[in-house]
Amino acid sequence: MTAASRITPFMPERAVIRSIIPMAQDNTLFQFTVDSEALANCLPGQFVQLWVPGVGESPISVCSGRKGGNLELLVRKVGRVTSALFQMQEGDWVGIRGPYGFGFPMDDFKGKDVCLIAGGLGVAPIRSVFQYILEKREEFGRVIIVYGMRHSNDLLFRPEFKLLLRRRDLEVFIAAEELTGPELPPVSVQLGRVTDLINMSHVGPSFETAVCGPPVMYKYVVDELKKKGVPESKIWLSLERHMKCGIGKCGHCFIGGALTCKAGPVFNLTALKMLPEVVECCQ
Amino acid sequence: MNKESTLLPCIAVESLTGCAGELLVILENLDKLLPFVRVASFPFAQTANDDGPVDIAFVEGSVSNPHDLEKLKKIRSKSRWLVAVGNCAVWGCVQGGACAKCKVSDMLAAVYGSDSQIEVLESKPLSDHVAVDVKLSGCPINTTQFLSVTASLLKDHLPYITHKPVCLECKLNENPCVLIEKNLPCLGPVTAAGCGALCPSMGAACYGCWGPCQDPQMDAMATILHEKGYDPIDVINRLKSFGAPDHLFQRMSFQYNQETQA
Amino acid sequence: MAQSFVFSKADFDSFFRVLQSLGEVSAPIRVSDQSFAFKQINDPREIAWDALRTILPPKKFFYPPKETLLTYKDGQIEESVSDNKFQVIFGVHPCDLHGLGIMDTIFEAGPADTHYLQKRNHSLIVGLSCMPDKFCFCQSMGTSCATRGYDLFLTDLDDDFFLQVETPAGSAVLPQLPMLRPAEDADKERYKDYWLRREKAFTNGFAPDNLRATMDMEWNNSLWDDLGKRCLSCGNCTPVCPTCYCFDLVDIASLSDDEGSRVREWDSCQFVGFAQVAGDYNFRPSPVDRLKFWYRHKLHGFDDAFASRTCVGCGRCTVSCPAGIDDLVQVVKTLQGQKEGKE
Repeated sequence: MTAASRITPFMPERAVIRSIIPMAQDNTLFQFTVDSEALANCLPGQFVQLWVPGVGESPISVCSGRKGGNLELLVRKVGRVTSALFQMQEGDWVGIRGPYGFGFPMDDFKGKDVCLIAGGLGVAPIRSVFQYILEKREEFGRVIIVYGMRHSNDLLFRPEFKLLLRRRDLEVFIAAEELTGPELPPVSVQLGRVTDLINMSHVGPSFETAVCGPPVMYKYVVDELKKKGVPESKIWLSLERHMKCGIGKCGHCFIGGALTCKAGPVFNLTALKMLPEVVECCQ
Repeated sequence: MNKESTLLPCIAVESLTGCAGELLVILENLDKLLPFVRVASFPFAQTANDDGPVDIAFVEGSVSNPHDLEKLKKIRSKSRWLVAVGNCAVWGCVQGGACAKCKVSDMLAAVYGSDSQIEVLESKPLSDHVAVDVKLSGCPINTTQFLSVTASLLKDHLPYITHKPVCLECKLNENPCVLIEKNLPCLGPVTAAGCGALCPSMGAACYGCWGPCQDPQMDAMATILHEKGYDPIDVINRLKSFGAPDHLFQRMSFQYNQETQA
Repeated sequence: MAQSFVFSKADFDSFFRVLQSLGEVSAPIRVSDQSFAFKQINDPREIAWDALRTILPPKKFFYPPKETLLTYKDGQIEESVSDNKFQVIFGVHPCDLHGLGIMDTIFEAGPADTHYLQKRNHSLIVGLSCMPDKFCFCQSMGTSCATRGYDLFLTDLDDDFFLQVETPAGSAVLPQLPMLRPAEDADKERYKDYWLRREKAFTNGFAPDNLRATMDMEWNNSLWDDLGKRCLSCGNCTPVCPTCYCFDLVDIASLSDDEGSRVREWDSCQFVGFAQVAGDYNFRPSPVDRLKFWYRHKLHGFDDAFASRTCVGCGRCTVSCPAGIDDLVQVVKTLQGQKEGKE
């Protein structure tokens, strides 16, 4: 099937699994070889529809910054589609459509201080942001990365964070609510919550903030950021909804009337406050 | 991988207490399965059966006596995927519904006399006793669903089963609504679809033989039937007759408890 | 200026035969004492002229309840293309024409849904005037006169039909219709008279001016909880709605290796699994959450491609709801604070 003959928006591109890298617990990083320009150049915070033939599609955030020719998805084994993906091997093919949605406004972030806040699996889209920033580090001001998780052995991208912690042009804070696992991770992980880390950091009114984590986390993070003086217009949240089609037709991802797949998944807090049904932050 | 060099996946089709309706559906479709599976055990359809491990076991019927339970545990221990097929296996069906109404020992005494030596258990669905991987309801099961579930499991994928209500299929058939137009006690709104809205398509009320749909609104259903003039006891009996479990009726504001226990 | 013609009802049979020569003709037929349905017909006598609302709206012709989008075999993915049969849909009333117009907007919005548009482009829609019954409230929704969604439109002038031509596809049929004569001034008077009479025939409705604001303000009104308690979550309100477009995407695996299809099926926001995400978190767990969501799409509007309220006032949800909670007019009146409202 050549790209030119495609007319249906539901047509996925065949993508071959290039490598499978187990991360922690049920999380694995899948690297795909993709042909299309669009998929090779996903923007931070965008998502793709990953299709395992015979099983179904699942929306997955892109976790690689601009790289070209290589798409990386961090997948947690949590449902039917992801379980099926975990049975696949390097060299097998899946379908991928996208990228879809508005990611983080990287152009707006340029020249400014940036604070990235991740909770748990939310580190996947946040990784696409810091990879993007690190490619053009000089174009951004101060950069803070905050990454919290439930258990210390949930730490994802461990080798990468080890390197990030050594960089002098980044302020990286990592914390777990509980220290678990056979050994302490070889990176400096502290005991605490995401909100403790935000409090500890020097985030302030000058920072643009990008947040991604489980639905319950947002309210507390937003409160903490406001305490630190970050204005609402500088708080960007990546939300999870069930994007089934990704193209604004199927209706599954509506939040109070806004389509997460087209208007999001990244929303500015000021826009979210206009919507009913947003469980992630107070009205 | 060379196909010839691998053995075909094995299936078993077993029956507990049920009407064999699911076995008939599976038997009818066996020719479609045979190129892809080896039937290790199907006592209903073949004489040579073995007890060896299987990839998929389809089990019909509810657990209604110690023998059923023993058999079920044996099946569970030998199968990779255990699929409960049909309402009996998934919800307990009419025998389960009967047990919800009166004590099983009373029923036994009434039918076989009080000195009967027959051993019985309160009739329950499979998942009350063992872990069930896939629940495929039906009375009998839908052929297309059965084949697609089997296709998924043969590839080691969990199938997509939604249990939307009968009303959806009924509307898609463009049937006049028997609940609205004829005031029949149709249970379509709280019953799992898959039958193609068979009864309402014939102008009859759905009596819920596929068991509850996902998140059935029993309270609203009971209220609406009661408003249509149906007796509260009949309404509850109707809702429970195919084994809908008690937890679906907790927190109901519909007043029936005293009346049904009276 | 749009062309208009008149023809005698005695000539309707030959008019119908011309439509039939274009393709399969579907029109409302009676299926029970109270219900009608769009079905393919061969004889104009099958048409139920008194049909106001069919069980399913005409969206089903372009957006079928179940539709294969893709098939794959041995690693090759093929899109499923519908056979290009031409469909004529006859007897579509103004509410449904507005409904089709809204569906067009949704499916045309980029990336365009080729599955819908292909079928839509191979169709001719013939609209038909109607007199409202006690459930009709298109007048309140501003959808009582057709402005889009049709190629030809017939207005019933007792012995004659007044024919309006809206699109090039519609005017392409004209040479085949010798029974037509250009509308004269007297015909135009009769036409205007009909629509004035119709305007006055509405008995159901509400003042729509503050509808959007009301829906916003009353998001937490206790009325919703009362309705939610009665809601069966049966989803009847959504397939019958001319503008409900939500769907599910399903993979149908085949028994043989590496073969199967991807199918879309009508879904309903009223079903509990609709807003559930992986890990079983549900953003709309209870019937009232889902019911409010649906009402908001219909009466306030969403930021979808149509970006406005999507109710067209056909009254289908009101007559199809077994719980009687989809009486939109009563709900709006109650929310607007009008005292005669129920609850």
